[in-house]
Amino acid sequence: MNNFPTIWGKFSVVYQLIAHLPPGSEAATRDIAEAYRMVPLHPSQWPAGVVWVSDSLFCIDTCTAFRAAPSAGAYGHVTDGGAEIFWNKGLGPLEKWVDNHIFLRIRLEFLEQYNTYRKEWNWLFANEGMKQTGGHIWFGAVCPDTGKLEELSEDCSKPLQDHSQHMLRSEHDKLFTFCLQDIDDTSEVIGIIWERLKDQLFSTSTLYIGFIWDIELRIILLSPAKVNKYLVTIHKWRKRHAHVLQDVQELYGKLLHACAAAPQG
Amino acid sequence: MISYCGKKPFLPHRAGDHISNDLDWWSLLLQSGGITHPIYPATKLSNPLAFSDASSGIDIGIVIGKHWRAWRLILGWKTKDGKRDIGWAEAVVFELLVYTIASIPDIGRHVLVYGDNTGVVEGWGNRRHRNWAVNGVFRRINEFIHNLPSPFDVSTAYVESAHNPADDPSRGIYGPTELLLPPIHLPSELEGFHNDATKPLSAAELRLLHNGSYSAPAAKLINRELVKQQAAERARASRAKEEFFISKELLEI
Repeated sequence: MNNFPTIWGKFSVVYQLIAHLPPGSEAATRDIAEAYRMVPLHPSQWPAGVVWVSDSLFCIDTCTAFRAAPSAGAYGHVTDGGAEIFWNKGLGPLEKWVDNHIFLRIRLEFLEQYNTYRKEWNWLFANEGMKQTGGHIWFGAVCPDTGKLEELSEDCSKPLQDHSQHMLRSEHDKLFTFCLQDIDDTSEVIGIIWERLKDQLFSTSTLYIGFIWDIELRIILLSPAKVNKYLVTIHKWRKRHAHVLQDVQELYGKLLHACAAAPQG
Repeated sequence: MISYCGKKPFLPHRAGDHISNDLDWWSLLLQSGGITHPIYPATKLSNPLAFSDASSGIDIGIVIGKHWRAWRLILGWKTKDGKRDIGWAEAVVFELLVYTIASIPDIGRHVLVYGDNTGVVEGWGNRRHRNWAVNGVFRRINEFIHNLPSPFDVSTAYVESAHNPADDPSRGIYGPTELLLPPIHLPSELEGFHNDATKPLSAAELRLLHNGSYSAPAAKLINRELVKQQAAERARASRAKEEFFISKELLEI
């Protein structure tokens, strides 16, 4: 997996992006349709994609979906490429977790000021270069002003651009640097297909990686779906007197995820 | 539990009592909708030059700028299972430093503090530590900050022991009393574990000293404290005697 690194728009990264957003900003979340299934596996790699169905039936997964350890990174390369194209077009800020993309947009009046931030980040990151931790690629440096590790998935070398003049858009969308149609215009060309039913349109709050990110109220909440899921996991744990490694890992993983918003945990 | 389950992944293991207590806490938090986190605006880091140290394992001390405060840990705080160890003492003094910082008006939204214990410095950065007793301290600090009227963010940075100004008070070398930091309200969980270093040795500490319960270096520190306190007591008594004679003399005039 370390040989196939990819970017991870994890909690701390998105938190940092949102903490730096100017007032009135909005977020939209979109999922890529048929995520792993859109990347075919080269026939020479099929032996790594064999799925046991029964003792007499084995299937070959011809996409980078299951089994092969580098699948996540291989798919990551494709979506990293997509993210790079969006950044190059000045559509952002943007982060992603596998197929789940969070697009943030700022009001036009803050474009210049925000791009100054990006320049500062770029200057900080340029000295450090691209970093890799395990299978995770990132850019970061300790900011002299805040003393904090500023970490993002991009080097911020490309400024955000004003797309508001490109086509007809709603009066509300005209207040921002881009709208969903601007994303579509690029994604259609490069072949990214969004799962329309999962689209969360631009708003002051959005659901991303299991948390509700409320930009206006400046608060992050664990989503009700995750709350219920975690309560069920705790309930199941309590019903068993003893636990195997998998039980422990499942419980630990869930609570560790919740810890991002409840550090006291 | 992950580590010992990892050795025999398919063998069921019983969880310790502390896991059950933790799960009670999580259930309550999940049901109350308490898994929330404020998004603090990006702010400049305040650096009040705040340091903590627990180097001797008996004295623990903090320094903010030129000001200081110290506490004596009462023998018996350390557990034999290694849960409450020196790392825990370092976490507790870091906790006392955060409480003291919170009492400073307009300290800022994001404060930098220094420590020489990598377990605490890095553990706080990750918001978790392998030792559950240290995690308990981190949890208390987080809850304290979360419930403040003006919560602030705390970042930690490592400082070498040799350059840690809190090393002195944590070795019983105290600053002048006029530079003493204000006293703070301590959580009930820490009751019985420490005594304010500016207060006389408690009956429990004297008993432990007379029973020879302290290790040689610790007894040396406590003895030094005792000698200092006895000298101060003698000076007070002598002053009182002088004042008595002076007032008597004045009355006779």
